[in-house]
Amino acid sequence: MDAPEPRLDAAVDRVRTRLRARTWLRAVAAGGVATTAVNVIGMVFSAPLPLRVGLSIAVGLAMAAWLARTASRATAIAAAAAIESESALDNLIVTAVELQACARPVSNEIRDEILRQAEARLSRVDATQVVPLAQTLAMTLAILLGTAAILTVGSDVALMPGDAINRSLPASTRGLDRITVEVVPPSYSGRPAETVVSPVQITVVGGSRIRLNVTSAAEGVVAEIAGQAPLVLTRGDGGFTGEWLAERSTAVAIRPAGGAGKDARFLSVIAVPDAPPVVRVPTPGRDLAISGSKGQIAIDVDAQDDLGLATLSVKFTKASGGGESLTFTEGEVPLVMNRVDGRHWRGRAEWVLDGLNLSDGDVLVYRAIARDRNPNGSPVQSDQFLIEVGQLAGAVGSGFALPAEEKKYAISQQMVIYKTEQLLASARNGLPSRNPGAGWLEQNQLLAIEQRMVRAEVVFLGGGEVQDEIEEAAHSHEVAEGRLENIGRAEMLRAINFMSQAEALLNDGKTPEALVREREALRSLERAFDRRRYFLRTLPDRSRIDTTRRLTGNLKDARSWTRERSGVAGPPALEQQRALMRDLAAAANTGAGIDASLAARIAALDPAETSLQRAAVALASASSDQARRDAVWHAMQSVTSHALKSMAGTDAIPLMVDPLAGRLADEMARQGKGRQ
Amino acid sequence: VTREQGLRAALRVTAVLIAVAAAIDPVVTRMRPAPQSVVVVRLASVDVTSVERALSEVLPGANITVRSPGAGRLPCAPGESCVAVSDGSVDVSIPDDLTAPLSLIHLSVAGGSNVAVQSVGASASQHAAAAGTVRVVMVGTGMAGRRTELRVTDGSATVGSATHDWKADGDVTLDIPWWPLAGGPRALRVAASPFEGEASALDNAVDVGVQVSSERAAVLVFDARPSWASTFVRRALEDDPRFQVEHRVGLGPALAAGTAGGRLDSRALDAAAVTIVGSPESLSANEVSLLERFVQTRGGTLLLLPDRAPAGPAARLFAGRWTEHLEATASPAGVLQASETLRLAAASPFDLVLGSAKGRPVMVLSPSGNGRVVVSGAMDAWRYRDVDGGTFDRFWRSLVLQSAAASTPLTISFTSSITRPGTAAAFVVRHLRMDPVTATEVLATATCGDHASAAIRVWPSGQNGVFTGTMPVEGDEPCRLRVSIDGGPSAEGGVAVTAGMTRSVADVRLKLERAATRSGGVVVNAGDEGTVATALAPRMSAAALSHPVRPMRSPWWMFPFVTLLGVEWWLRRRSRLR
Repeated sequence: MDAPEPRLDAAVDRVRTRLRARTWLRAVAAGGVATTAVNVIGMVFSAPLPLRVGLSIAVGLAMAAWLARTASRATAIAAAAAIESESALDNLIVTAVELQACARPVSNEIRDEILRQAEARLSRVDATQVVPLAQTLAMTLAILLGTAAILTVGSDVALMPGDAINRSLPASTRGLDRITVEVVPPSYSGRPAETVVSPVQITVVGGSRIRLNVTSAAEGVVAEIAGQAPLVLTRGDGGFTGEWLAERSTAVAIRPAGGAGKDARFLSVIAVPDAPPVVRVPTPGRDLAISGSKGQIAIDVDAQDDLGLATLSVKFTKASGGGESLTFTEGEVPLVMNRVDGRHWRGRAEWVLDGLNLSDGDVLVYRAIARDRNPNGSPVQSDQFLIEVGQLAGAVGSGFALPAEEKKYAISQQMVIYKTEQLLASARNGLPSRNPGAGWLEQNQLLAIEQRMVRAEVVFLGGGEVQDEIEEAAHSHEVAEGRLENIGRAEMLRAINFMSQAEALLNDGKTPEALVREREALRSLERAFDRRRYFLRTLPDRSRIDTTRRLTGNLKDARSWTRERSGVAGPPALEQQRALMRDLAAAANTGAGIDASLAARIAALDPAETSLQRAAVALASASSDQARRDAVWHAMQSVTSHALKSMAGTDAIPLMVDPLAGRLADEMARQGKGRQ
Repeated sequence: VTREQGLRAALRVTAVLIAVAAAIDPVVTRMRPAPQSVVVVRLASVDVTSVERALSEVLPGANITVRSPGAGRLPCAPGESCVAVSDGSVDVSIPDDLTAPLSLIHLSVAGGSNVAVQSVGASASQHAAAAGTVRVVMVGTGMAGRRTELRVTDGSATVGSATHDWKADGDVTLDIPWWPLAGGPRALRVAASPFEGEASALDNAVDVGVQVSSERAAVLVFDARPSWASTFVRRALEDDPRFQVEHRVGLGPALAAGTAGGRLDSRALDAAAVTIVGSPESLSANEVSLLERFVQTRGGTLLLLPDRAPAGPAARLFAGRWTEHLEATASPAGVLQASETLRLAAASPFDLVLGSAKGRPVMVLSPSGNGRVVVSGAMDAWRYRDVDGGTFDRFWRSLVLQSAAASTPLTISFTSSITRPGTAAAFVVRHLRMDPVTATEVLATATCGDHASAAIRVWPSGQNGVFTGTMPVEGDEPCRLRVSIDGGPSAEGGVAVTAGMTRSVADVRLKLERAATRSGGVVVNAGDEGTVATALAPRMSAAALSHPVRPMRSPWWMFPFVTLLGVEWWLRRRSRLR
């Protein structure tokens, strides 16, 4: 009686085990599907690789675990039901298992008979047929393999935005399968190299090396770079490669050799040049005058750069003596450096003047000089500040003068004004003048001499000689436009001009008129001093005389001076813009010809102009007809704006052209009725 | 004679009389009212059925014919009573032989928000290497808070654009810069972008024609002695490709510097469109006489840039009384800045004040003879030329350029710089010289697109050196006109041609209103058709037509004729006669 029971249990247990195994396999397969789905979504949205893979696996495991918990439902009764569903056993197996599982009021004979018949029937049942596992196992393995493949093979693939954008341009992707752009910034920038796949626009540090890697079945690939000769990419194992140095912004059309514009891909390269450092002296930040030759001055220096600073220093020049015996000594002030970070430095100095052997009347000029890490960059200096030494230093006003030769006495423009006012007041009030013995004209002429002295000193401080003040004043706009580099010099020249006028008026005894000119001169001096310190320039590279060129010129080349004319858009540039506009108009009409080549031509008009670059990128990225139409219109607007910038314009001035008006006016004038 | 016999004879005679009358076929003339025929001309882009129905109601019995314009011409024959129904969107030419009154019914724009381009002004000629400006007057209704985008297009190419944010209803004037795409006559369209719910989009665009050329304006700069004022004006012009500048500066009694063509003589002045004179007080009497002839006879523009108050022989070139004013600081003198100014005491009604300082004119254009004299009293404006972002250069370039357009020795001006295919473009050729001649040979040839060139007949207008003509416009390509004088100087002009030319709704309405008023018709708004009927009534009642009638040709005469003979025969048969 006891023998059959183990056989029944064993058979049911085998089926239960297989049921559980099938549940687990299905859970694993579902987990794999979930992993793949999350991974693909991550690729579409360009999620970072670690995040994408980690999240995919986590979701897959969660899904598998959630489904695997149903394995516990594979009970003996469920197994019996599975056996019954597979073979028609008249419900004997289920009945036998339920009788074993729980006590029922059934006679032993009936119970034994049920068990006997169940075991007899079970001999015909095959557990592998009741719960087949091979197909489930194969499916699960296939899913797992696929999931693993997508996780590994697609690890560096980003479906958006680059690929999707370019796939949306069906005409432009033909012939070029994959473009990889590697950007190697200049070493001094300290930035790492980076690789971008199928970009439309990249922003790089000026001087970066750009390496193109193009996968294509074409025989050759050419990169047409605006403003440069075409770059022919060389074939290698991994495709076609080529590189160039991006010194300035440009537009590139990459096309298979011999391919049409529709086969090309567009790349806009925005090169951001290295900006020079910005350096200033916040403390003391003004000119100083000290009465003694000893003391200590606190100096704070602040310098910043976009990529990184290399050096920061404070240099000074000591001017001793006067007139022909003026001597200059240069030196450096030690700084205590506080590097906030690589791009922002602060320095502080406690400048002890004791060891400089200063004497009354000496002048110290100091400035901060910073240099960035760009080896081709130039040092940048701050505004220069002045320290005057001596008992009379406080007399120096906004107008500036060096001591005269015979006595160290500062005569400023303010002082000339003051003396002129005094002279006028004395004449007005009948008070005694400073020079009682002199007449009115003579007193004016004495003031004119002082005005001339101040003027001479200002000319000297300007670093040069003014031969013709009127001519210099007439060219002051050229100074302001930057041709002489110093915008303060224009004001300086105006001041000199006013001083000359004041001197002439004083010599004629026209004191009130002279006072007006003196004040104008002072205002010009104030403006000049506010804008930039220009005297005692220590980096006068442009004005340095190259003695090696002496006697090397050709006399035949000597000719009269001709004025350099300001340029407007030359015919080639204008024709280029017109041709591009005509093509854009044709594209707007027919919708044809909107491709990377057209975008590259737009960008190439002026690679440094943001609106053109934006229009080119929009044109290259447009994916629908409406987007293409909008992009073409914006491109036309950008080209128009660009063209208008370079063309001479006209203001509308309505002029009458009716000849009858002239004749009538003449006749009225002849009769004396023309003007009432 | 029995009664029956008498009756038979009467019947027979009557039948014979009918036959005789038929053989004679007499003619009778009758006067009757003329049929009331009215031609309704559809000049609208919207449905005008309601107006036509209203006209039918107020003109009962009138024969109303509806026509649409063909070939851009009002389809109205001489003597026809026409009623034009217009919304301003369809422009037509008015026939010269319009003898009957033309009535006009305006279709008003539906209420609601609307933007309309009221007028577009552009220089008729434009240099190919420079930017132009179109001045647009736009009217907005219910537009507060909205933004309107204006585009200037040449074909499909956008050559200029601007936007305007409406703060209130009313009209605004915008100057839109544009750049020429090619030479020759160009048709520009200025269009305001329509918006959702706009009352009418018909008034959003206007076409204008511009002649683009690379001709440079000839400018002569003459300084009797060195002058900063003229030097810096000259430099502003020399930097611009639109000007061909010749100059000469007197440095001493027998010493001068400048270019080869910079002499102040009749030949140089004949070629120059604008002459600029610096330090005019140093001019000699002969030089002043030459300049007077340049202005009054030659029709040139003389630009005087004095350094001081008028003096010497040149004083007569200055119209009015000019006084010198000095100030310590510069102040606005028109668009320029100056501290030393010459101010005109009072401008005449003919003067055009281009700039004022302290409320007094300092820059004045005075017409004289065929030309004009411009005096700039901003004497030291050159000292402040670097302020205001190049205003100094731009002002002088604009002034000289626009003066030159009217002062070029040989000019061709068309009545309209844009037209439709199949029309005729009227033009005026003006060739003015320092020494007018009595006989001139003018050769004019016109070329429309790819069509062969054709000689155009020109006619003297009555004024020496001025001729008029008409150029037929064939095809839809631009037409160019080339004129040469005595085989020497030549000039080229042209008109842009476009089939779908759009004019301002306001202009079209004004043109139709003028035609209607001139013809004796009435101008009413839709809904007031009764006024049109009242205006047409006298003409209709007065009209009568003489109508010839041939009564014997009616076939009904056969009935009495046969009846008479039949009765007579029946009476004879009853009396047993044959």
